Amino acid sequence: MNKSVKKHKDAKLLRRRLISNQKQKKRNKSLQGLSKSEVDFIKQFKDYNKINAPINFSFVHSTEKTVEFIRKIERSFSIKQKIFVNLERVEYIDNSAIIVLLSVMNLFRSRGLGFGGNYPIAEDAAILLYNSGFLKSLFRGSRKLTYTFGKKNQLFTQENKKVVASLGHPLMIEVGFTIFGERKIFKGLQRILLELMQNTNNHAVVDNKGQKNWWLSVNHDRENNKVAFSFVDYGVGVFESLKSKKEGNKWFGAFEKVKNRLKYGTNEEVLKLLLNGDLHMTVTGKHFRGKGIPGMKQVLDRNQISNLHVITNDAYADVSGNNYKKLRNHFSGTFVYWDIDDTNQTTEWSIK
Amino acid sequence: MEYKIKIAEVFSISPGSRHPDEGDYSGQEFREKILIPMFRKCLNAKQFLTIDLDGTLGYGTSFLEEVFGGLAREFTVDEVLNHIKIISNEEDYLIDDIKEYIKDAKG
Repeated sequence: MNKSVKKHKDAKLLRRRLISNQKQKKRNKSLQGLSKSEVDFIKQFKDYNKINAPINFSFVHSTEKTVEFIRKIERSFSIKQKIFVNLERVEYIDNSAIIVLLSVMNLFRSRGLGFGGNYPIAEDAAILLYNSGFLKSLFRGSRKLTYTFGKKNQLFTQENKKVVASLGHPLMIEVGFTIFGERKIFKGLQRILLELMQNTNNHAVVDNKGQKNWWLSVNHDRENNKVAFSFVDYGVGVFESLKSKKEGNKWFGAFEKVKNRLKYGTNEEVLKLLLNGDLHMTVTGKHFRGKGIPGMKQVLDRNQISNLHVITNDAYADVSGNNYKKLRNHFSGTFVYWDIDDTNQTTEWSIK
Repeated sequence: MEYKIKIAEVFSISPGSRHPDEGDYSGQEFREKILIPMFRKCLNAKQFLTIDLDGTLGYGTSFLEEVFGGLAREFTVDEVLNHIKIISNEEDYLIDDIKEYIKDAKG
């Protein structure tokens, strides 16, 4: 070997060794004072991409930051990078965030991609996350849908996009007791659940992307006689689904057909038309008759539910507050939140 | 003779989706196994068939469209409109929706 080439190579090796030694010293220093289990914990996740959750971790109340956080997780998933979800700094967390996090983390679990995480330092947030059944649901997977009576917070999922109408039975019994202290039928609840499950079944997948599940979080607030529901369909989202319709489908070219009715041509404008049933009328020439997404707003208009929120792709709708806006970040799926309280319409229990 | 079907009693308190592969108690299953045989009897007897929707947890639109739109596709819109009566005291709005599913039914 040429002498100068060898000299150059040796120098390069020496530089590398020095850098490596420096890094090792730095690592050792950062681990000083930690217990063995803490050191093992850090070493276990050293190759993982650490993603920090927002301080206010709520899909409904802090949508932009939460979608941004979910996007980071999705990016890691797309390049098959292992992730560590850092919840340490989370001060507020709610079930809307937990169900979305669960749906996206399930992608890692189902593809055998490494993931880890920690609990918030804030006690209330940590307790809420623990009581949500998040970890149990994440590792149990979605093979079987089981309802447990007496639990304040429950997470449900169903693989193969199945519509599980029978879930409404135990749900209504408990919702009735939480809100009214007796059994009641909530026709609006059954309608919205069926339409959402059906929507996942028919529209969530364009090219077999990701999981084909729906996820539902049910949370009883006994002090305020209220039950909150968060539904996530981690599919392609409403607009991506609409755009992908082929010729012959009644929704083919829907965006073109409503163009002149839009001021800016944005998705939140289309979402408003869709929820009001106007998109259906313009595209098909017929009333929507309770079908699909506009059927959810009809349930709200009949006062069978309250506080309806829909988030899909880059569109946010606080339907009850008539507040529609464009999101900076894109959410790959459809999220729907609503709640039921003692002001909502019910039917006397007539189930035999 | 009165021809009557109460869905909650003869089929399910939790009617499901459109097709059997989407979940249990689908509209297609109800139409094929229960509704059509009974409807044929009614037509032959030139009688009305009363379908009672009350006593269930509620209905999805896919179930209703598949049942009633599907019935109109199997027979004709006029035959269906002229031979069925719907009872829906718990959700009166369903009656108008069902009439439209029948009228909109395509073969």
